[in-house]
Amino acid sequence: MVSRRLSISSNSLIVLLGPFVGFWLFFWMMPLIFGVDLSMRSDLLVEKSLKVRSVHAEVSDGAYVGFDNYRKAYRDEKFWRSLKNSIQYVLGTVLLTLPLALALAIRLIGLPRKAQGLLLFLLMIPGLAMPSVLSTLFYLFFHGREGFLNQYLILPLGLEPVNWMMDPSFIMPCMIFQSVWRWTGLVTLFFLCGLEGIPRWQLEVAKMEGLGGWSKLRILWMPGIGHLILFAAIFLTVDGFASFSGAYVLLGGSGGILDSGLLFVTYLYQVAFPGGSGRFDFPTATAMSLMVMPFLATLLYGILRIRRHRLGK
Amino acid sequence: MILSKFFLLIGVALFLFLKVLESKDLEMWISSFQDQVYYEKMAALYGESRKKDFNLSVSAYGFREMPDKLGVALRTGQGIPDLVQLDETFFGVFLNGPSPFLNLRDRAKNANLLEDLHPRRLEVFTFKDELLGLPQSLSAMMLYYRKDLFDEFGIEAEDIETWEGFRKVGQKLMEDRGQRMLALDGTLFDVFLRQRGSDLFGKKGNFLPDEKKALSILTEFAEMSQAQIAVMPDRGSVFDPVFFSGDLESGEVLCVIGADWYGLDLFPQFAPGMSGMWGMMPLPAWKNENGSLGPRTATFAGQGLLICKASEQKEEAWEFIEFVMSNKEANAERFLQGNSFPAYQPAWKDPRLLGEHQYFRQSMGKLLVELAKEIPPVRVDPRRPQAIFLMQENYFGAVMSGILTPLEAMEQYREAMQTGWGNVR
Repeated sequence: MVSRRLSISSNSLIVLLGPFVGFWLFFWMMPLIFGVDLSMRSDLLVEKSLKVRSVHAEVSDGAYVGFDNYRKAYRDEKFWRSLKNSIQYVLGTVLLTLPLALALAIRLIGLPRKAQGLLLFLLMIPGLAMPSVLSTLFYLFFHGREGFLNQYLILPLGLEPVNWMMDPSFIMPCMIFQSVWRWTGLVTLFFLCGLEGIPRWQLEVAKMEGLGGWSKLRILWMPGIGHLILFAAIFLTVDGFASFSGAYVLLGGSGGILDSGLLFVTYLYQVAFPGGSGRFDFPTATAMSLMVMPFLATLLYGILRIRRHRLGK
Repeated sequence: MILSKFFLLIGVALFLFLKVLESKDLEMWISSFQDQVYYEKMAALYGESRKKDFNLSVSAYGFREMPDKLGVALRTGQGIPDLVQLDETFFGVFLNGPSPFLNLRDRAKNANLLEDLHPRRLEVFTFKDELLGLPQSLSAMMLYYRKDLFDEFGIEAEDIETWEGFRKVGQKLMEDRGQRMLALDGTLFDVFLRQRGSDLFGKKGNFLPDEKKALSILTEFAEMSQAQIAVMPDRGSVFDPVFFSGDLESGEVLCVIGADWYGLDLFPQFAPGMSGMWGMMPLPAWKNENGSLGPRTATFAGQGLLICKASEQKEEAWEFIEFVMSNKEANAERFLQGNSFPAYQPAWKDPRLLGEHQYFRQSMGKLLVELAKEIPPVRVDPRRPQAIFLMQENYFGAVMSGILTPLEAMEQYREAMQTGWGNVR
């Protein structure tokens, strides 16, 4: 009887997990294996695919070059620069968005339903729009002389207009600002949902005890939505590292002056595709992606450790 | 009975096979959405002129997207088109290894195209003595200037003969009226280098063979930029639609440097309300060491037609290319539709190409024919696209805004080219 139950449960496990495992193998493992293979090949075009006979003695079909592409990537300063920029971008976005969204959610929870809904909707508009559309808006916002920021803030103060997107010290803050603007509304919604779940009696007790704002935040709000903060942090981190279209529109496909806004995915695009920056080096771009994988895996593991630690508590 | 059924079956299979072969469209990829209408029209014209059923499937992609797609197709060997329209800026990208394009030299020679196409433009698609594409546009750079404001400020376009003179006029304009003269773009570095008789690559493939000239160009324009005579647009590009609606329409600058396709396509498209305000003149020349003046133009970008080696319809593709390149109507249509001024020299006598242009109210054709004799050569190298983009995106703007000195930029530029290309080759 027990063995039959086990068999049924293992069968249903296979049925339930089968599609996931299948997709995982097909869409994740196979590309990864092909990616590893590609990362060890020459960036020269291959005769077989061109259907031509080789005139280059040094190139043969699918020429393997060992770890040359990894070495090339390791020596590439722009690769490290793009990684550093992406980390800055992610940290800036996460560290600004989370407190801002939490503060907004706490303010919103005390408002009447109708006002709350309207304000939340307004806050969420940037998150619902396409990144390229947002970047175009932001581009007009940051435009050198005619932009909104210069016209209504800098020039009225009697200052010289700032060319935001041409000044290396402003490019990254502008990009972070764009990301914060985009995601704050959506993250506020998550936090608001979490705050709504905190039992009302706890709030009443806090009120009776005369808890101040900081104490309420520490004892009530934060523990109540800790899991949502973690989720939002993971979401923003993943989005930040994969960010491409926003930066592409804002900086026209380049990394900006002195590569100040060169994000990791933008650089991969530049290396891999002819239209990126006149290079056409898929293998090295693949090697770069694979080099970053252990770092991202460690980061994810770290975040999950925090979660386990919290659950343990 | 069985035998007759067998033969019938074979006959049907053969018929279907031939039908499939016959109905296979010639596939063409182009990197301009505007050109789609042109090529579809040309396919119809070609079919009519040859009195045959000719099917051309034209897929239009963006300027950068097409080379991306072509790169993927060539790398994987899947879905390679028969012919492509490729900008010369990206041509070098595909020269890294065996050429994916067919050598057209013999065919072009037999069709007289080696003589009829402008020799300097043929060089742009030539690599290791193989002619891998045919150039469609002359792409000679001119100075587009605000006629109305030049008149208002009392500037005579004819008086500006050299860059030195241009700078003096700009300086006076800035001092007297606080008006900026010129919009800069990172791609101009390569243009100015060739206008001064140098290039990005030397005969032996050495990068920046004349660093002195390169430095002096950067210094000259950096000084103009610091003095507010010249200005970089926001995203460092004069090809940006916002540059037209912002910087140009607000009169922030009086001059822009661009090729024929720039004036034919971008001006009417992005600044339609400025019709009649812009004039065209040769680029100011650089003074040679002996005091003589250098060429008043150089070329930049421009599309060419290439046949992929993987094509199974090479002859059909060639016949179509030959028709588009040498047909009188095809050349005139290219100009009239606002694509480019043709590199095919016999077409230059066509009055439709020499007449007054509707937008500029001046003959673009006559000016280009005059400048065509002065076009300096371009040295093709697989690293050329990367060199152009690196300067455009990383260093030119940094030097113009004073973040890097010309010398620092040159050092970093060399280093980046070395790293980007790897030490493998």
